[in-house]
Amino acid sequence: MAVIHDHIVVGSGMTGAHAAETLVENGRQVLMLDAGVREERYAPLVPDTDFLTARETDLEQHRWLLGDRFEGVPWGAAAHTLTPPRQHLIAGSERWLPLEARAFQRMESLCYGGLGAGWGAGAAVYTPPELETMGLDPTRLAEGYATIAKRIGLAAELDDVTPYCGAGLRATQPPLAMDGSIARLRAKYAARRAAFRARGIAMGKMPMAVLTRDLGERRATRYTDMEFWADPEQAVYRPWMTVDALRREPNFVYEGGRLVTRFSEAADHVAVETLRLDGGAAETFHARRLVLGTGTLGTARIVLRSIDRDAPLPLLTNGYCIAPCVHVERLGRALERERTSLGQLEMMFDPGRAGLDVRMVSLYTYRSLLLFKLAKEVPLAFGDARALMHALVGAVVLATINHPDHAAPGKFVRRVPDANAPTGDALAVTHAVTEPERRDNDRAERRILAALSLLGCHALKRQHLPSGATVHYAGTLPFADDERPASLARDGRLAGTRRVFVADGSGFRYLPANGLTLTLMAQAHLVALGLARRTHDE
Amino acid sequence: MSVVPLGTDAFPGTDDAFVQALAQRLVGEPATTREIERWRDALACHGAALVARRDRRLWALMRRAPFLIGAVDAGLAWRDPHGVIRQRLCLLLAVLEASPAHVARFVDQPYPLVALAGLAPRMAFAALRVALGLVVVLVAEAPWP
Repeated sequence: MAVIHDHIVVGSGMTGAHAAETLVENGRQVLMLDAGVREERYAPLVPDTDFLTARETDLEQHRWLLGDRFEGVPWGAAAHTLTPPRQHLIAGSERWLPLEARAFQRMESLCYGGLGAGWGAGAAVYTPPELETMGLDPTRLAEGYATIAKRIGLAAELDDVTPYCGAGLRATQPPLAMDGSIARLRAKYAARRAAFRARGIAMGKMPMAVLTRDLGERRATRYTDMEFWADPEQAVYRPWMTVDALRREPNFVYEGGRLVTRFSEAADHVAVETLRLDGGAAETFHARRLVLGTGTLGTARIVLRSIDRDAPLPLLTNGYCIAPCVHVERLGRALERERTSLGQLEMMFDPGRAGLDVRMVSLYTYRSLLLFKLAKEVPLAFGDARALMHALVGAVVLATINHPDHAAPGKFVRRVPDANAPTGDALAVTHAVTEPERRDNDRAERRILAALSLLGCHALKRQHLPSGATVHYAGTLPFADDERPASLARDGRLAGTRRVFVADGSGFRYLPANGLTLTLMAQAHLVALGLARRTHDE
Repeated sequence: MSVVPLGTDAFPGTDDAFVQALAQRLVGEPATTREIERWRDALACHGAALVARRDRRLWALMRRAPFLIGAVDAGLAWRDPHGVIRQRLCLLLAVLEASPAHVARFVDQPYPLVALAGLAPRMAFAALRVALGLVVVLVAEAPWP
């Protein structure tokens, strides 16, 4: 006779991990079903030292910098931050998560800890207008943010961007240190603050999920500049840390190597169908409640199969532009040896002063992702491009501009047949930015780059990445109060079901420009908390 | 260990002398034997074979006249920036960067203002190389026998 588990949580990423933690904390029995692909090849090769020392001394550095199959040399539209030690993020996704799209750069993950294994650690608290537009309750989210901040550790400070991305956070750690180039930009902003604020521009530090003080078994960052390669201190929060801790709890069981394909509801339980990644064998699990935390695209696949729906679902993803800039007064100077590769300073552009449709700019200096990736973007011979970028790199500031996204008829996903796929289907994605949105984004980018110019940081070009490149996806099952098909109730329950809950961003009706990761974790916690209370009452 | 089978010429036109000329052009220093071997592995892994006639012509030209390496590269940077010749050169640049032997050519360091000023004539030559390279590439694309 089949075992009926208390709760099944699907996925070990940001949402699965925190939904599971909340359920386990509340005494519930949890089975986590996960693909759980791991990286074991390169981690042992990365020396436990700072990036420059590794570059100067490690004779085997080519193995972890470029990869044994040279997979760390991106060509075309490949993501430059997918270094060999991080390539397991996308391992198996082509086969098991087929996707049909043009002009859409997706990233989905089957790895242990999900896409959180590659998170840039920006942990934004959304503004009340943003949360309300998304269909979320700001008061409840505040509780969720506080819980997650305590669990994962956030480095933050009060400054001009706090109202846009850090309001209400308490008990945070001191902020990450900035390197000289970024600190100088901030000082120049401070000197002309009133003028910038009059333009709707605020500059400051977004909360970061990086430890600047020890927390439990994790250690504070040593500023080794190795975030894209290794993190032996576990200073940057990753969801696998939560799952590792849960696996020591008696009321938690982890089953890896499985792809959840669909579910079906019976009178007193949910049947969850899976395929084994090591051969494709089918296996079914049963639970009183099912919590999907497989990411917006993954959840869409499972739900579309389960409710047998051919109609499209809406999709949200942030527009994205990278502007390499030269910080003129830094020409001829090198960066510090001790630094971070992560975003160091943010700029918020809020022309309407309403805390809605704000643009978010992250500023990075550049070293650890290697010079050849910059050189290949320069329209010169490689030898000349290398010489130019070598001279400029200490003064390079990368500004990444994120735009908010609203639902529109040209932005959707749909399930389509695919005879070659193990599941017999694929997800077809269309994300066409409307012409008014494109014009708005262009105008915002020009004003942001003009503001950076006032700080002595001049953009060399704007590179617009395809939709999807931010890896922020949401909105496929928008929150609704009327049980309409393919929607979520406010507590995360999937319309038309009684026992299936969605803990990820599928319900968000709007996607702010600030990264959604902290909100995903907070929402997952709240969905699980509601579920724990409900099952307790039962 | 090399992934290119011994005794085969999987990527013709990648003899040591020519690779040294390419390395000299890219970083102003010779490549080591292991770096050359590593680059051939990279070509195999990326499948960077010269399929198009134009690319074969340009590669042969670069071998015959190494002083045109920079011009061909510069012309392709505008005409076909994601083509296979640029990919081959990018792979070599990456291999050279991922080696302690050439770290000073890649890692940021204090850059004297005199040296910065010296970049101006080099960039002027770089622009001329683009112009020359575009002509060379267009000629190579012409349908001559």
